[in-house]
Amino acid sequence: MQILKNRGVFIALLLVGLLLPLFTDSQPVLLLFTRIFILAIFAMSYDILLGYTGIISFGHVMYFGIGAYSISLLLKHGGESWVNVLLAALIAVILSAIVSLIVGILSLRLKNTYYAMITLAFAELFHIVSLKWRSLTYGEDGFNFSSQIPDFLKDRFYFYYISFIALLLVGYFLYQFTKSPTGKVLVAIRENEARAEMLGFSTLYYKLISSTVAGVVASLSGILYAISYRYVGSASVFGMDKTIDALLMTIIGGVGTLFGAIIGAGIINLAHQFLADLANFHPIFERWLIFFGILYILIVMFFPSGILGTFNKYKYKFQSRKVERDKSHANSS
Amino acid sequence: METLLELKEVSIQFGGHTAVDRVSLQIPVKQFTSIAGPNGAGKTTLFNLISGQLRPTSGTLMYRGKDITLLPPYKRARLGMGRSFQITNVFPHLTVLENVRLAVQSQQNIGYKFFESIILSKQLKDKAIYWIEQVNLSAKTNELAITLTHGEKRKLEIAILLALESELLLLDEPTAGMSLEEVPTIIELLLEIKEKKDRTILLIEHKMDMLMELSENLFILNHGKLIAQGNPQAIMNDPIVQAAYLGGYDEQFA
Ligand SMILES: Nc1ncnc2c1ncn2[C@@H]1O[C@H](COP(=O)(O)OP(=O)(O)O)[C@@H](O)[C@H]1O
Ligand SMILES: [Mg+2]
Repeated sequence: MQILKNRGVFIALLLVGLLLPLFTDSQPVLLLFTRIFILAIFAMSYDILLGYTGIISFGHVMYFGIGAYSISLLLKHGGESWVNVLLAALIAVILSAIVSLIVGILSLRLKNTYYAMITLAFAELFHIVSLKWRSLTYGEDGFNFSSQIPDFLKDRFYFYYISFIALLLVGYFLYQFTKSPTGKVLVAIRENEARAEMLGFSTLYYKLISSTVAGVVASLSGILYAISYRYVGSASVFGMDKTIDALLMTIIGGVGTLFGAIIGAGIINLAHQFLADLANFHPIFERWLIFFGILYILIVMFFPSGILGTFNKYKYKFQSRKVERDKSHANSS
Repeated sequence: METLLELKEVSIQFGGHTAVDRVSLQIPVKQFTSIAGPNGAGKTTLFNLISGQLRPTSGTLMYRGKDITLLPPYKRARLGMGRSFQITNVFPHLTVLENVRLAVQSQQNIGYKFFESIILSKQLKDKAIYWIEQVNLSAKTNELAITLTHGEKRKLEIAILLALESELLLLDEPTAGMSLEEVPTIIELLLEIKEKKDRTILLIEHKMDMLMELSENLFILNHGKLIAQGNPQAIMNDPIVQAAYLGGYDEQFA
């Protein structure tokens, strides 16, 4: 019954995504949407933690960075080859799985709030290593690896669809995951962890699964992100602000709605672009953080459950009213 | 008589206060045992010790002859111990169906499945619906738990416990705060389970008539100490119990 509760939203997004390149061949527009798809994947992975398990992470960006550096370093030092792309994906997945397990084991045994602290510490650690290991990462400047990317991935049109398909696949798998028996237990943990444990679920294992799934998916988005920029730098893929972005995208779209993250990613990145364009007219718009703050406050005020969350609530109300109307019709006739 | 659960000299202290004081008792298998005692006697704390939410300061707990003193709650649940809570403890933003479904899922022991299977999903749902019917809550199947009345939450709490199909059922004042019309449903349900004679039931209860109607054995707890145990009829006539407990009972609960 619950299968694709947001079917309308889903189909609309699908159509926009599929058809957009037919209406514009502007590279910047394609690139903007490509990055929206990629960051939507990142935000969805964050929603698995925050929305479905009720765990806050302040260092989710580290998995993103692990993915980004895996692909960049392998291509830069290994040269252009598909084998290196696949190898990078493999390394990113394994490394982020290991890191998320370690972080989880260190913190989730105790209290979920420690997870926020430990992830922050680990993310900073990765950030610092990427800054200091200059011979490998070129430190703060980062490096461009444009000439080592296979041509197919460099084509903005193809890469748009690659990112879009990645979004669909990840969305599908995560959706299945949230509806699966394991996903149901995660929601139970979010709702009442002690009770879930009393029902016989090892909540620690389930939280570790959540942490690992979120970490691995985030690393995949990091891979795509680095390819889209053809560049990697420690600030852009290990910076705290990317974690905050994920948090904002998830909250704006609707915590615990999964696909809301796509809407959140769209809004944040379009607003970003829009403000950047306005900055040509007046320098105040360069202070885009102020506008983000205002946007964020407005959304939290008027859509406390996020955009998709609010939409679902109204739909639910409307449907139950309809059910009641039908019932009273049945009774009176 | 075979013993399912045994407590040996179990104590727990909160700060300087001893809430459960060297309690030793044996719960016979497939019988209906009750624990009574005045408010603050340590009954709920004893349940917390049994289900694993609290670790005793000293003493040992045995389940089927196995030492479970250090086992975490989920492992005790897996061993066959299920409990309901005096203060309702459900998943507030899930529907009644989803609440009970989780218990069914645990009972079926399907492990870590990452994909939704339509067949399994339906199987879990059907079972959950069955248990919801058993406690007379069908009308609320798709309501969020948080929107239920107090009495309905109690029924949900019981449906969750029943759905676990545990070998040992720990019921902490299942009818507390229920309206009078709702109580008979629950008593009948307990009688039904009792008559099947395939579960061990441990009930914490205040209501005297309920205790007499249901219990085969009765324990009386006072100030954390076990002061009497045995046949309910005999215990109620025991002058020590009457002095220590029933006197207080009349004052507090009549
Ligand atoms: N977690 C706790 N921390 C401190 N004191 C507690 C705790 N749990 C129970 N107590 C105390 O232990 C005593 C017994 O409480 P409880 O087991 O709830 O009694 P009953 O269920 O018999 O009414 C009370 O004095 C209560 O205040
Ligand atoms: Mg109590």
